[in-house]
Amino acid sequence: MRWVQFVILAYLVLVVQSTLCGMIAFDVGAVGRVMPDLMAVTAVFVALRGPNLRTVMIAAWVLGFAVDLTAIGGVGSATAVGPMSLAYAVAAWLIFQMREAVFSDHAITQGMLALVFCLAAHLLWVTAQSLLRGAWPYYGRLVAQAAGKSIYTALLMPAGFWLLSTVQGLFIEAPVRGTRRSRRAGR
Amino acid sequence: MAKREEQPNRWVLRAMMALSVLMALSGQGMARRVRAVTPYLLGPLADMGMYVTTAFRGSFRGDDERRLTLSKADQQLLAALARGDLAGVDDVQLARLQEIMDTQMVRLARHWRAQAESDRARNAQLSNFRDLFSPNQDLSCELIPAHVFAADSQAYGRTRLVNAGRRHGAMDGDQVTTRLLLTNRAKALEPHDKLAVVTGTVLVGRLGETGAYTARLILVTDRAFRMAAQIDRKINYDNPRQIQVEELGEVSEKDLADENNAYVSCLATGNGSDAVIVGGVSRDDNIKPGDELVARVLGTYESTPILIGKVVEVIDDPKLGAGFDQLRIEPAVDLAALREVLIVVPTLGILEDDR
Repeated sequence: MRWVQFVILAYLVLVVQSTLCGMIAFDVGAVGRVMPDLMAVTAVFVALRGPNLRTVMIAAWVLGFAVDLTAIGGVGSATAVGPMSLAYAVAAWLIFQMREAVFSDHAITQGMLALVFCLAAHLLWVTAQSLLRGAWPYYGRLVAQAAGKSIYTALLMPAGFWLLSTVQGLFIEAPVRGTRRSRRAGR
Repeated sequence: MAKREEQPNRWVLRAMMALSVLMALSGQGMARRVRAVTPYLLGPLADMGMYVTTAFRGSFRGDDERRLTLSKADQQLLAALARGDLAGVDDVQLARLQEIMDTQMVRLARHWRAQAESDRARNAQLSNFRDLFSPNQDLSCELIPAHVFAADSQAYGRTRLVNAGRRHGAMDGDQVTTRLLLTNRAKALEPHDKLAVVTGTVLVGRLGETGAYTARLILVTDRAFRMAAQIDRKINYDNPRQIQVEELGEVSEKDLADENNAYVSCLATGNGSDAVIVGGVSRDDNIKPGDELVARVLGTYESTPILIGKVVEVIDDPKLGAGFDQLRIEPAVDLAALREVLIVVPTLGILEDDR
């Protein structure tokens, strides 16, 4: 993993998420505002293309921490910092476990994986914030909002995956094939 | 030969996870300190993005009534009408022509009605600003201009980052209003030649987490927004509504009129989506859609009210039940397109409870 380039990419995605994403956000009646989670799109991409589990989880933690810093409201008071980085790391672990079992170049698979990632990460976050900030009166609506956000993100995932694939070489080192002898030795 | 990428040390990941848990459990103080760096990180890049977003959202407001899609045949028909050459036009085409004209009349009427409403609102905004902040008004406050440069990265909260903070005089809890920048002053202020070049008469939120140079604006629709407000009932002189009035210990029903139209005090909270909710309003007050929710500048009472929004729905209060209403208020401005704001800082000492 090229960490400097990865952090720059995370920063750019965060800026887009905090500003331009407002253009494609919309209100869904009682559920509230629904907008895609581009940080999750990046995390799913890294989970699918990252070299190993620990690298993937650290990258997801970084992305989640950036979200933690910039997602403030929603629970009736300022949210706690930390739950989203944990939730992203756990959700990335989940996707990493699934990636060998799926054909990740297929758009529908990418969308489904993004849905799983977002549901896992955001439900964890909503539950943790409700526990930490006593926001149970809003729990039902926050869960519905998380579900709406997950579906929206899943729909955009194939496009995001394609975009990130075009710049993948900048932040993920090309997979290195082992020598025939090391492969035989299982290394 | 290239080397296979090695896994990072397991302690790095463990330390990061432990840090997350610690920060989550350490409460608001730690969260506030950690988040204080965010506005500086987002900085100029976010400002550009927000400019594009607010301009984009602002461009979608209320001019769709002007558009009328016509087919090629319809256009030829209209061209024939313009030339006065209707010789070859049959009855069916004439009926179609009539239909187009009717549609256009209705659309134009709607457009001009909307335009008149918009002009009236703009005029009220300009006049109200003079009432609120002109030198002859005994209201001691300072106005700090600022603009929105980023929003909440997830849609759970309705907050914005503004580029003014403690160094500019802003503090947590300060009220924030819209700011209308008049680029063509001579034209815009024709009937109000003594006005300043900014107006700010719609309350959009309050400040929270104020840093040295930036602050977080909690919009009126955020779940964390709570503020004492008042409802201004609009009188319909042709068909006045009935309200309960208490006079000399006796309660009687009377028509709502200027002499008994007192402001109804209430608590306004955001619903986390696109509206402000006011609960626990007595049904005797007979609030109706179209009434306005207003606030006062902090530390004052009998000053000109600042508009928050308009009542769009009145339902039974689900918590208090019969006898009480819950109101849904639509903000008076499009908060998604919010860019320029004024922070209202009272210069007289105010009670900490007011904030």
